[in-house]
Amino acid sequence: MEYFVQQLINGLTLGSIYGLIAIGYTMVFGIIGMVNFAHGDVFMLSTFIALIILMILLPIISTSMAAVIFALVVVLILGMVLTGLWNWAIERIAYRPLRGSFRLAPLISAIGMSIFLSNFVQVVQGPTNKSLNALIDGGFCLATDVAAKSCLFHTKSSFGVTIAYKQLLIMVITALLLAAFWYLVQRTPLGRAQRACEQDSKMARLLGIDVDRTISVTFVMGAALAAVAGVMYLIQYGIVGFSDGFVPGVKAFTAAVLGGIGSLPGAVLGGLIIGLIESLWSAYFTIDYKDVAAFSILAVTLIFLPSGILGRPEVEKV
Amino acid sequence: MAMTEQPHTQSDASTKIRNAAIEGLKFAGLLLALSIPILVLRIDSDIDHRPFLAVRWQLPLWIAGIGFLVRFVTLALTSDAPKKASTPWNLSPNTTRYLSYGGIALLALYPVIALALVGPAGSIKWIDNFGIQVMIYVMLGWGLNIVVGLAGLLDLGYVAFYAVGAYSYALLATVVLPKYAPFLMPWAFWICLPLAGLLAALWGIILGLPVLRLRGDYLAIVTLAFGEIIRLILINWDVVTSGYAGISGIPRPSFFGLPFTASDNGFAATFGLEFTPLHRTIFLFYVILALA
Repeated sequence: MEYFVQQLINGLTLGSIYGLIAIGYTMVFGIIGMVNFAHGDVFMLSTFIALIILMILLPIISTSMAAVIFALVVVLILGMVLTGLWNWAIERIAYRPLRGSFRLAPLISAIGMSIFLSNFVQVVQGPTNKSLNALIDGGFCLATDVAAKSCLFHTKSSFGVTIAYKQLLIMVITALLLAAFWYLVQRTPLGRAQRACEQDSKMARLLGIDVDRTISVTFVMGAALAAVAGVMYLIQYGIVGFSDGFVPGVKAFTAAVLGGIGSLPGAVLGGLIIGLIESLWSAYFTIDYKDVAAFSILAVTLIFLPSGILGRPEVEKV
Repeated sequence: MAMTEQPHTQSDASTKIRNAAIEGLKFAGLLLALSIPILVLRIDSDIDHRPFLAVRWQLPLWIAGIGFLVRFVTLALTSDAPKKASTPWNLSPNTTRYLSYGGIALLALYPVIALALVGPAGSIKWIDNFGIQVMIYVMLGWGLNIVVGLAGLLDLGYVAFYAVGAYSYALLATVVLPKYAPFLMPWAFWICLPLAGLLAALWGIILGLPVLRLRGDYLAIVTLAFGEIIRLILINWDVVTSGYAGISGIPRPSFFGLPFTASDNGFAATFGLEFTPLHRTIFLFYVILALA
């Protein structure tokens, strides 16, 4: 039981990260109907940017708790801005010229961009994995068998349950960002423009919406969320390599499809489900095949439930 | 007339150059902004594995400079006239036919040409590394053309069947045949080749049946997922595929039962030729060519 609860907590943390990446997929797919395959690598790039900024700030970080929080805020903001700029440039260079071309052209271009980004980072930062010392230590103890420890529950089982502060931080930030973006898309003029472009971009243009600008903003927003996910990934795992973009990217896409592509809460829900399945699978079956499990879910979802859990059934546009 | 036209065009040209310069500067600024954190600072670790940041200032400046020049020159030299839509090469059917015949003839003569130009010792590199590699890509391209080109289905997991074929051949020839039909071993290549093809086709049917309900982007993603699944299974299923170590000692192809070895009953001895590994590669080259 304790083991299960611990895996549940780990899975929810992982799922939050997937959910944040999945929002980027879902927003871009919603607005231009394109699978932005490079999104996973944008996430990887943002992790590297965050790591570099954190390393610049390292002398301050060791001083106090307030300094750590300050550093995190700086990293989040700078990372969001820089990654947004990257994704804006990618959209301008690789996707916009292909708009209106045949349907699969942007997808192929995105795959090319994905390969470019991971190789670029490999060349520029070197092929070894980069690590970072744990920023936030400790956590709440939920259950333990050690009598001396102050804890919520005492059990006889040898497995303890802890929820690390960083896991708590990740979940809280995901929830906050989901609320903020939900508000942005549902209640502001920008979100209205985005939804208009999503429904009918030609009509939106006739009504005076700058479609190109709206699409650019969507890409920047998606990249900003990927940057947040990158910082969270760094806090949670403390290690990143140039090839770490593809698999989280595909899993986040799975999450987006599972939750219903085009729907923001759906993306986070899908992310949580994928995270839970992955950590429970690793805990009870075999860790070797956890990616196989994720890919199988992707295939099964796409084949049997293409509109997802929270998505609306859509007429197939071929 | 000419007097009045002159200043006009001149100012036109100067504004154009100024605009091009501004655009170039914008582009260079963008490149700088993009590259500053990730290019200037490189995460390195010292001898005690403590990470530190290595600084290099020149690289982004070079990139920005080159970006400015490229953007400036392309903008300054292109005319303002609307671009003509590029037309694909319009080859007459006859030309295409001659081209493909020529290509086949070139491929057929390729080992001979390589032999004649660089001799037996030098040509093994050209036939083995380049010729056979090229032919493998030709085969792959052929298959992909059927799926993507003729059927219009973007299959990103196509290499999975390449892997299935390779592993079927390797497993059949190293595990199944020696156990159940050792007397067939000289013919291993010729038996396993069609079997591997059949197995890959079987997998194509198994994966294709559910997948073909999808179209477009989703099809591409699902095939990509299947490709990854097969790759991961091949890596992780140690008992059968021996994982990252791979399978070695796969029987080489034989000349319809005659092995390409230096032994007495080998290909070279039978035909009274001097032994060289070149025979095998040349033979393999023509096998692929014939199949294609």
